[in-house]
Amino acid sequence: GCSGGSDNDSVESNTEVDKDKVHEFNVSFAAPEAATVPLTDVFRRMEQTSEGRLKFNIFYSWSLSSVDSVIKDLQSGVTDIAVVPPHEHLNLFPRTSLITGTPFLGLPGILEAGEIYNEMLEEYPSLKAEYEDLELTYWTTIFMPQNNLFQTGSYGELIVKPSDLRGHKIIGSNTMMQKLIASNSGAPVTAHVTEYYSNLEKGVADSVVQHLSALNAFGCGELIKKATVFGDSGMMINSMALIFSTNKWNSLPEDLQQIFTSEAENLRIENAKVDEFKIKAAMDKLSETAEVYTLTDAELKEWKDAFEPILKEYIDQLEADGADDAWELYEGVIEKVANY
Amino acid sequence: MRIKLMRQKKELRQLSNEIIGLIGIVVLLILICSRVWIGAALAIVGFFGLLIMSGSSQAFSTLGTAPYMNIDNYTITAIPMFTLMGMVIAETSIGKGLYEAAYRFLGRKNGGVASATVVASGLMGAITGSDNVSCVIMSKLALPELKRFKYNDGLATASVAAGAPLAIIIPPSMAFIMYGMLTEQSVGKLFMAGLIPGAILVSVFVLAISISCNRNKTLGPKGDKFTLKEKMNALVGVLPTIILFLLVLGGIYFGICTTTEAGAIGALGAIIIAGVTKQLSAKKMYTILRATVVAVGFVIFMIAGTFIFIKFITLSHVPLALTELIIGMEVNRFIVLLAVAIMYLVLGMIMPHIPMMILTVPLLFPAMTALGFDPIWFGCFVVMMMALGAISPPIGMDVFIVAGISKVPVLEIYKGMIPFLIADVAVIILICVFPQIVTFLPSLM
Amino acid sequence: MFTITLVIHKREEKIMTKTIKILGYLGNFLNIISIAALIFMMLIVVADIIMRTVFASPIVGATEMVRMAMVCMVPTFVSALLDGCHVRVGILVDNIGRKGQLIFDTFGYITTAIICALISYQSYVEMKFAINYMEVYSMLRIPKWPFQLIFSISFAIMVPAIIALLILKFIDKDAYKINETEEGVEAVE
Ligand code: NA
Ligand code: NA
Repeated sequence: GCSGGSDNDSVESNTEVDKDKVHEFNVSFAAPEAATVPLTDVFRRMEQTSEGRLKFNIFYSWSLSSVDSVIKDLQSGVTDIAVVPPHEHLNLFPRTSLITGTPFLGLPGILEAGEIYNEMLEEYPSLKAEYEDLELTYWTTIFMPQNNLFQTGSYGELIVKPSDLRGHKIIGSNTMMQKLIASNSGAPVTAHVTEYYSNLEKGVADSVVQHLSALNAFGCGELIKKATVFGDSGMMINSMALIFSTNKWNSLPEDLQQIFTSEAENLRIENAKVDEFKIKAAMDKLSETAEVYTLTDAELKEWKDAFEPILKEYIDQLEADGADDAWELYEGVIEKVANY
Repeated sequence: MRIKLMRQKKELRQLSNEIIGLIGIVVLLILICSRVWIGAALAIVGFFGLLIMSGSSQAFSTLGTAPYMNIDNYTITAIPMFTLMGMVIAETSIGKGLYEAAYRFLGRKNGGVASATVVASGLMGAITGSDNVSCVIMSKLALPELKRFKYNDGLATASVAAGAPLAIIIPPSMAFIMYGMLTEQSVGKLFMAGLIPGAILVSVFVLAISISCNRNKTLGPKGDKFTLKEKMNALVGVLPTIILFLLVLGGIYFGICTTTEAGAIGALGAIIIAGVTKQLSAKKMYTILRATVVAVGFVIFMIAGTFIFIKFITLSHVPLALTELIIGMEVNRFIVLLAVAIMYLVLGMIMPHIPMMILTVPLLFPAMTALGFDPIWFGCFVVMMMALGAISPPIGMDVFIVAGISKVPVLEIYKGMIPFLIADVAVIILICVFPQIVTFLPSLM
Repeated sequence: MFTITLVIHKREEKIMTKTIKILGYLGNFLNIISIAALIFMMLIVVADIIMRTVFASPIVGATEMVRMAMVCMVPTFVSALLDGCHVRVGILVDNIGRKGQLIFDTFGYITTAIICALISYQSYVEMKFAINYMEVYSMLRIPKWPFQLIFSISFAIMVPAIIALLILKFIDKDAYKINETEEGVEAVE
């Protein structure tokens, strides 16, 4: 890896001679600049801590890489660090996305989800192996705000029970979620995030499963008239892994690697705190203009029961495809959630 | 001391990437003007630029990922669908009917049929969100008809190309959605902002056509005279187009389909109409289908090259450096605006709208709003600059698309384009002097 | 370089025209596949809209099917090449005489052929990755590699097509007589 023309001599860079060398990183973010303030802050802080030896060129909104090409871009060194949504690459991260992309798992919150995930990483080496098998270097994972169900009000009543999904046209990118919608006679709609606004405004879809911050970022907040909140856990809590291109990581001297290692947890925690604050403010603001309903435990259980067969089929399929510890992982995370 | 030295080293390296990027742009222009296929020129410069700037692993990997991933992509499927719709309209008498009516009503006025083309482009803009899509359809629909009425090639092709970017100014528009996302502005307001400027642009284009046709009578020759009865009879021929248009527009505005899907409805609708009115032989259908896939093939090749080039230009930091340069200027705010306009004209030559927005707007937006420009107004300004960039020399993608389909030389299209470019610039100046033109409708929301 | 022109005789010209004809037939065969993909795409989108709006049960994986159909249309850029549809601008070279134009075109054609060969090879590398990691379209669970193969082959076919067109330029004494902007090969049609 030699992006930015900064590390053509990676062999010698671990020696004392290269103390002055500037290590330049092309960093690829998924979200727009305004939505990634805590992440950007940590990167700027690392530049200072390293006294200028680390330099980050941050590319927002997938302007350098894309969700489809990010893995290959990391492998080839087009990007040196990138946020990777594992749940969007089910074939590459079947295990990780079982934790970060399964509905109704009950992860207690943004911050807590990260802690549980860290414990899982420790106990189940097969999780980290998913990154290593791709010759990538794992750094840390940040968790996103809770996904919930938002309606524009162009069709039907507030959705409370799974059977209320009938007739609704719902955007939800998650495969399992789409199956749940379809099995309750709703219509899953596939749409790229940039098309959310038009689709919701025109009624191609009348509902969307997402987190409110993302909807706001894409301008859809103004269209939401009803919201179904699935408790503190939401429908699910997705994650973004921060990944290094392995060549780039290996080219770093130890003291610089140390800077990254020591910031890993800060990055996760600071991001979670800001996100928690932002999502709460956003939900409060939404409740001024929209009907926001939080499900009772009994109602929540009804959703979990409806989801049960889909989940079972999904995990069985994972095991059949070679992720032979999928059930073990699932039960492991469920146990942690219960004991949290 | 050490840090200072480091800084200098750093700046030197940073500079060199940007210089490689600028050299890449120059080489691209030279290749394109030396008759290298445009898609290939973009791919060649992108690949060798990455090779020099980043290294072989990045360059080779990009060849394998960028083209494929941008073609195995749902959003671009609007292109084949709308192309098919355009082909059916063009090859059957659906389009003829429309143009016969336009000819009988407007043919006496100089350039009347070309004006009708621009108006049709405006309506097409209400259906699609992409200027390239609109460009393909209108080329197929309008050019054979304009030729039939003996319009000058340059004027005919230019009126098609000039009308195409209306698709990103008149809602729905991917460009506005992207701007709204990047700046957290209401997409609904941005859509409203584009309406009046779009309508003004259409009228000014019509004016430009009639002025240039009056000055040079051979551009758009005066048509025959028709009685009122003959005119009314021709209206029947417009019916299929109106049905088709309502079908697609209704589909979008009543929430039945997305703009991406609308093309499929339009294509099937056109086939059904042509079939019912007995204008589709098997042979004609094959001709239409073959012409469609070949036109799509040419667009695919351009897309493949474009996305290789984008990777290179993004990594070179050229858009970022230009933006920073402009923000750093401490001059009158309208000079800053002029610089922004010039930047978009330059970048508009080499980059599609969406990546160009992602790379420039997040930095420009705070600076421009701090200078007192209205956020919605600035969005409209940016989109209008991009629209201008798509038809301005030396590289205007819509001009190239028309050239590819019509096989009229690019230079001749640019000659025909002069009045439209003047008109376009005039409208942009107008919205700068009277920003209310843009902000009035959104302010009602 | 220019000695080649002298060496090529009628026989070679026939061979080249034949090559282009064969490529043209191949292109037309691929066009049939693309046409089928195009019709499929249109019908599946319309069917999906109807199922969604009328019966509230959209076709599972419709968008993925549409994407696959899109990839099946890639080979048509070979036909677009032979039809002379790919846009070219000759402002710099239109008036520099036959020899000069031949030099520029040789350079342009050969670099284009090289870049197409490289894209073809790299797409093949990506295909192997997709096979290794069992990459599938997530809803339908259809493997991605056959589509990447189509993509790779399409770019591979560009190489002989471009070279054949270039050799024809050398043979055809009238190639630069008119101020050309395109080079349709009538033989194919
Ligand atoms: Na539009
Ligand atoms: Na331009």
